[in-house]
Amino acid sequence: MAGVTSIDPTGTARPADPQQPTSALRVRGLRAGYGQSIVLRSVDLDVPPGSVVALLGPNGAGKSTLLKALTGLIRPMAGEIQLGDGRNVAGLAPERIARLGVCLVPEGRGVFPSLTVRENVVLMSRRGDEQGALDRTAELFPELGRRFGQVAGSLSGGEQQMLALARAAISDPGVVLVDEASLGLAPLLVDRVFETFQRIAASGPALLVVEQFVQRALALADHVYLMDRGDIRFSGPAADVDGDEIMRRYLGMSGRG
Amino acid sequence: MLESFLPFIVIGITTGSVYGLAATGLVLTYKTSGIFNFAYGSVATISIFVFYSLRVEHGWPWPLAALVCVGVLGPIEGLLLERLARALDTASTEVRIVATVGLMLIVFGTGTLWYRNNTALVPQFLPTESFRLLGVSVGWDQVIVTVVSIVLTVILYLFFRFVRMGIAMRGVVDNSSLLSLTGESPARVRRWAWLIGSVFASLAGLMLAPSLNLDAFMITMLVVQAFGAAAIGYFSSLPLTFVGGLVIGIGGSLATKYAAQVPSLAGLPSSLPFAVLILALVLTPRARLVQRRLVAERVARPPYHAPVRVRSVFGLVVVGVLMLVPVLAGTYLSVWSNFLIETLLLLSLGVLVRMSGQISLCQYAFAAIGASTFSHLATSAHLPWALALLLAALISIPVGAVVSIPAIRLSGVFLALATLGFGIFVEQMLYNTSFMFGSLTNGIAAPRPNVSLGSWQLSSDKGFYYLVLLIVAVLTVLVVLVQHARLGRLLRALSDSPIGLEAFGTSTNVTKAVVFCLSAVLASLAGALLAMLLHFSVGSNYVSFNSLTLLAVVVIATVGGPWYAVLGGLGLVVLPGYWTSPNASTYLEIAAGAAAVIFALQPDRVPRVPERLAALIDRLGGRRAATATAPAAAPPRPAALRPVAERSPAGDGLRVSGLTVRFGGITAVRDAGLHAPMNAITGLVGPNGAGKTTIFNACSGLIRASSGRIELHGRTVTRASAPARARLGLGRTFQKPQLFESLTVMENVALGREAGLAGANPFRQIASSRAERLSVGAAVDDALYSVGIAGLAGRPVALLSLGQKRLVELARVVAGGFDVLLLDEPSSGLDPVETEAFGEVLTRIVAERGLGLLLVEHDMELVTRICRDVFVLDFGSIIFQGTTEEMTRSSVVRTAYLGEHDAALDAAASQAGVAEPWAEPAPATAVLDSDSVEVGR
Repeated sequence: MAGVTSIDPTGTARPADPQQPTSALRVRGLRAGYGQSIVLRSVDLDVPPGSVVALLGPNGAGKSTLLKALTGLIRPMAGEIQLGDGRNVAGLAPERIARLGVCLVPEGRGVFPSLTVRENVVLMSRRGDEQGALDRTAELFPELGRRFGQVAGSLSGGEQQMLALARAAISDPGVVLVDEASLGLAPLLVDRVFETFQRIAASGPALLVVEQFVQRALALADHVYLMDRGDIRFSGPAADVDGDEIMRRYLGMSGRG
Repeated sequence: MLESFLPFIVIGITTGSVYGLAATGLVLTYKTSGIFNFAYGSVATISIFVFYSLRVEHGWPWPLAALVCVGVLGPIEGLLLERLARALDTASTEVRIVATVGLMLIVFGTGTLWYRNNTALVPQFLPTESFRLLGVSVGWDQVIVTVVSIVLTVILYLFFRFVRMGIAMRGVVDNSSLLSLTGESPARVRRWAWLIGSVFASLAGLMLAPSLNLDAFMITMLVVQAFGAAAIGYFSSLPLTFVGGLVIGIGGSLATKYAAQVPSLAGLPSSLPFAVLILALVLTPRARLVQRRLVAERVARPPYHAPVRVRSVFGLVVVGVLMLVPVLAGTYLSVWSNFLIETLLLLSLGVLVRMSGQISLCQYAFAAIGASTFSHLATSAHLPWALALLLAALISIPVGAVVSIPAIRLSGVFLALATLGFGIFVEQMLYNTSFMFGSLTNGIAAPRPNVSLGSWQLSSDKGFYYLVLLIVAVLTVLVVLVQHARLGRLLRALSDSPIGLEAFGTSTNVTKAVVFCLSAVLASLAGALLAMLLHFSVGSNYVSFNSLTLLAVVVIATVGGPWYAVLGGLGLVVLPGYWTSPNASTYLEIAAGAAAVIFALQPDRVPRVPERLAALIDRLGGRRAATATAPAAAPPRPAALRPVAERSPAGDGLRVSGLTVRFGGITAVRDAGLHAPMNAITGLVGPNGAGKTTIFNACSGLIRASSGRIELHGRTVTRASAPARARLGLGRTFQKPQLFESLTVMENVALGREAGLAGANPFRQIASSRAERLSVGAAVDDALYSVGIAGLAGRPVALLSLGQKRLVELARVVAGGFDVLLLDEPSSGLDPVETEAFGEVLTRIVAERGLGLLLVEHDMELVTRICRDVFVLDFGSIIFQGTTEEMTRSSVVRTAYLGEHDAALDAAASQAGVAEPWAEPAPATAVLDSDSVEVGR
């Protein structure tokens, strides 16, 4: 227990410092759910510009719901979602939020399976920047560049995930949210996914990743949030968190570090 | 030889390319929005009528008139349709159909009012000079129409390939929420699709218009032929759809040539498109007929039902009033007889739509078959009246069974289209032949019974009224009884969750066939009675298109029980019967259409009964206000209650060996083997997407194993259907609970038992024996107490929390009396306290009954606490098997969960056959969860 209790509860470790640059994403009191069932009670969360934040927690903790609420796929019932420019986007339609620079790579395959890779990239690009997006895709993901004419649904799962992640790299977003990108991928592909995270983060946007691979997510992230049953339970620098402790507490597994 | 065909082929290509254009627009809107526009022909109708008005009545030059129709009216109609489509987002299939049917009725009515007495033809506006090609005279108008259709279809195709908006239209079909995440509004994309679709329909209308009558019905029917073309393109592929249009155009044209030579084929040209529609729907692989955008959630609030006592008294009062009708109605008596018959016809459709969630648009065809069979038997074969009626009803049973074949394959809008096609096909092809009504306008005689009871003549109007009243009342009571008997429960379960029902042992194919047969019998009796009322069987009384109006009435008359049929009969027959103004029926048509559209636009389509009124009715019926008893009020478990175990729980349990499951090119499960012995809880764990639910689905028969063997107590069940496996003792729960949402907890649990008793036998599906009812009751009590939810028994399932639903699912599967239970993530949605209690329930159930449990679970604490052996699945392969204790120490398992990249994992991965890094096995999470299995049904 020691490892976990040493983590600061949300909020107390964050002095209100006016000198600090504003968050790329600042969430306060977010409440959301489906119909009458409330999944998120009151979530506070910050993603500083240029940082990588990991969001961890057991199945059913509400991580995916949080990402959906942040991007407008489900309508928040209460709370604020502020972008870097201070604009509150809570309640806007998903396409509006997307155009304001929030890019969600959803769980599962975030591609249009019956479209070709080229057509996928065209839809992912900013309006008027279709050719530029194609060029950047070919440059950043050569394996996709070689398959522009192929139907995305016929790509392997790993390639599809690359294509989904490519959207974050080519559409120039302010903040990228990734939901379980490594789910169901073979180990070597998981490496590629994490490399891609680093590449995306290096290109500028802030990154919020939901991951099942606790240790690797901790290694990647600057900051970590732990979520359980619709609430943020802990928040702190990733370096301070003991991954094994998280495993024991949230996944019910015991074992070595 | 060829010369005699060529002119027909030229005509066929011309009309066929217009059908192709129309069908392309239809497919475009259906694909992008999920709304199949039955009113598509109405868009063409409006275009033709307005064109006629502008061109002929106002003398506009034709290009201007055409531009207004196609360039102004078309887009406006598109925008309106898009608004309607958006409002239908959460609507059920039948409401979606009824909404556009309503639009069609409005356009029919308005068109009729506008040009009622105008017999003029729409003038040809294109140049009609002709030239000779291959010895055939070809008109320039034909060339222009064909070229315009082809060019527009090609442009649309290129637009889809190379223009961002076109690509987005295909994207919205794939995944509309992903499209919104890219910053494109799905609503905007769909709006463009509707716009293009309507413009195409308007244009197609104009190109078909020359030399047509201003007959809204006929024009609509003409465009309905495009449905067949859309079916050839499986409602998805634009090029194939266009080809389908050509096939129908050329086929129809050639059929005209033959029909002119062979009189008995007179109906062929007009019925051919519908034969094509049916064939395409029946022959297209089911996986290709994807229902676009399934209904999100069923309405959570169950409708109010008055107490039985109140309903029975009300029923007696209504019958009493109807007994008095002959005294009061005077010359209107035949209207009331007709009303009773219409009630029966509506009831026959309600049995399908309301009780089982099936859709039929061929009730009038059933009725026509009943009427013509009766007439033939009574007139030509001189059979006694009652025998002829009985045989007419019996003969409709195989007809109903034939129509249930598409129902078994198809659902939703495809079933609606198949039955619509069947109805119109029968009408066009057979009505005028000697098999049915013959070619005379009077049809064939349908004698009333020549029976006298004292001074009463049953053949007199009064006597016949009472006869009809007796028959309809008896049949209505029968339907109500069926609704409350086993079949009624099975049908409601079928409409709530077909998978849930199959997994408990009911062969739903049989259920669907039974209900279609029942519906056909009722409709054919109504048809025969109508013929007797009018003294003649004649096709014009059974116009198949009116089946659409029937559906609209059954859907929008939301009152319960048989009362929707009574209400519908009043509206459809009595109102126009008394209101004899010449335009009355047209006004009513418009009103009915408007009512359907307005109904469909309501956000919540379940009628609300005011609480005070409900309370008053409850008090009158002697119902206590205590249906929602608190759990504390649950009576204690009777001491005498013994676990119901019919099968001896001895045996090998469930054994899976070498199981491989592939979806397309993806291997979701690879050579998996596991064993769930009796008298123990066995765990099956693994990361998300590892293939656990796929194994469950393969074991329970919801998906086919590509290879491998599944044995239950040593008996191989690999090829058995899901219901058959359930009847052999294999029960399961679902990751997303498949409860029967419109029923109470107790009814759900009872169905757990009853579904297996009903099995595949049509007679056992209809009613239960007393002994069965007792055994079901005992099993329900036992299961409710075992799981500890006796206090919830009377609650509607729809109002429960996810955690409670999981407990109900468990109780239901316990009541089923299965030997081996597969439980799919039963603890998700439960809080820690509930989870602990849940674990104890499972342990106790196994101890008491000696069952074998196989548990897919994410809560490792629960697994380690209650499971003896555990199998760990990763990338579709079993990477570990052993006791829970061994598992927690296993580095392979830790790696699978943690994603640490180490040697042990590599070894495991290569053992699992994941050699090629870019081809991992289990990505198709969408295919894995249970609700998408349902999509194909």
